[in-house]
Amino acid sequence: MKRLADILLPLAVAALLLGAWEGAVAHWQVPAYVLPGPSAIARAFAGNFGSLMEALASTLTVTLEAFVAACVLGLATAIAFSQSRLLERTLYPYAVILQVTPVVAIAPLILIWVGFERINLALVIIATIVAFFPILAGATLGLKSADFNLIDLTRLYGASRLQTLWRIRLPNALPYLLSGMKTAGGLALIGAVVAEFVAGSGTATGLAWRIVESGNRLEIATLFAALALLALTGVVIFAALSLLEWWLLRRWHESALQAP
Amino acid sequence: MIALENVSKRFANGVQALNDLSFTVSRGEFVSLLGPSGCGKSTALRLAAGLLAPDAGAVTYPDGKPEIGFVFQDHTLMPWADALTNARLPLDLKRIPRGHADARASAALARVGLAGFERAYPRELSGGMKMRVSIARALCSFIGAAQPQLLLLDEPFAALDEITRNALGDDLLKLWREDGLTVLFVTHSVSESSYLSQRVLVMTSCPGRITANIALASGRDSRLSPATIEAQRVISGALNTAITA
Repeated sequence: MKRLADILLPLAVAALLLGAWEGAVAHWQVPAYVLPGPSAIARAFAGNFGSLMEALASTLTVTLEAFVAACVLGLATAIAFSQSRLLERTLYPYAVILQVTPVVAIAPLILIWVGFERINLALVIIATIVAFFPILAGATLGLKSADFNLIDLTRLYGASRLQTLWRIRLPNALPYLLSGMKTAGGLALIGAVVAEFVAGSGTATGLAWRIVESGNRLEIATLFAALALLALTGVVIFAALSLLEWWLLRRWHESALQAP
Repeated sequence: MIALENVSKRFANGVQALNDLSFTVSRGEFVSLLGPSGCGKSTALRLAAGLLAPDAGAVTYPDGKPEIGFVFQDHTLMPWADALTNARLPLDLKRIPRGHADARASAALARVGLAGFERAYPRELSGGMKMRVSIARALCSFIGAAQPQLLLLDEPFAALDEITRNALGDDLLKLWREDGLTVLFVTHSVSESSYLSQRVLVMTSCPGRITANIALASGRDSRLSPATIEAQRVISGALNTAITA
């Protein structure tokens, strides 16, 4: 009953808002190139369904590739840091610099270096840079925060560093890593969109490009349709990662004591 | 079994944890290391296990390097693993084949009264049961029958209620007798040490050193038998002398 309410209440609010929006647009006769009503947006969505889905597939591919790359690189870097204090002290500041530098500012450089003929690779690299840091930060914290007594036990039994990593440090890092992944999933999408914006129309073919193009043509309804699709994609990515987190931690971690 | 000779240890923060500490534990003995909090008992135990290296002096094993089981004050279980996997950790790390390791770990769990709880996760177990898994894990440290077997316990029952504590104490005594283990038991409880151990080493703090070595008389069959009460009186006396001295 409570869970049903969790779904129905937000839906009711959405219906109310959309109705008010539609009514306001009709009542004040707002021009469609300023603010189209929900019904106009739905028509634009249906009319451009094929091309919007193609754009979604393009953006989603970049996002997922960047997300996987960020996970692999972030975890690998964190493991390297956990094995060598020297390496961590030497390289962590550069990871932070990479994180705090606005990606919009370095995206043009990456596009030039990778080349517009390999535009998708450039997009993936830019999105990876955006998504990388939360994975690194989460995994590093998790690998380092393993129970010292457990680490001592593995020493007592003559465990190799690899065994300690595999049996103690990595499982301990899992909740931190998953938390970082939830943030990184959203950031990969943002990174993909920003990269498409910077790449500009004609080269990129994703949703962000559709937004720019629709804006230029004053097809605001199509712009809204692409925007809604983008928001929905972000929600789905977050929900999928939350589900993965709950499933992996459901047996043992406090955070997963209640179903999502 | 184990000998600490004139061992000193100073921590990085400058605190002299132990100064000129010497004691021995013979094979098959049950020895308590008793003292107030912060007197360096845990440090001495870590030195005995080889987890810390002394600044001066030596830790030696006259009967050869023993297999060591270690039980911490906190249960120190892996929260992501069930009881069987937790108990199996020493066997896994020594690359014992899975089937054999599972059999050993199940047997160890059964011995501490946890048969049927193999698949339970730590957060599904009570504090006493978690400590039992921790003891089962220590039992799984002992693989080669030829090697001496040393069980080190660092205030294992301090966080438990008295009823659980007593039950676990009796179980520990039983394991010690049945397996011929050598036990070094760190505690700050006079009653625990008087009932469980054959010999009590009294420590004082700042820096930690041993001020009394009390061999307890036999006949301590229960916690309330006259010999146990008498032992408590002797140990308390030694502890008071040590603290006020």
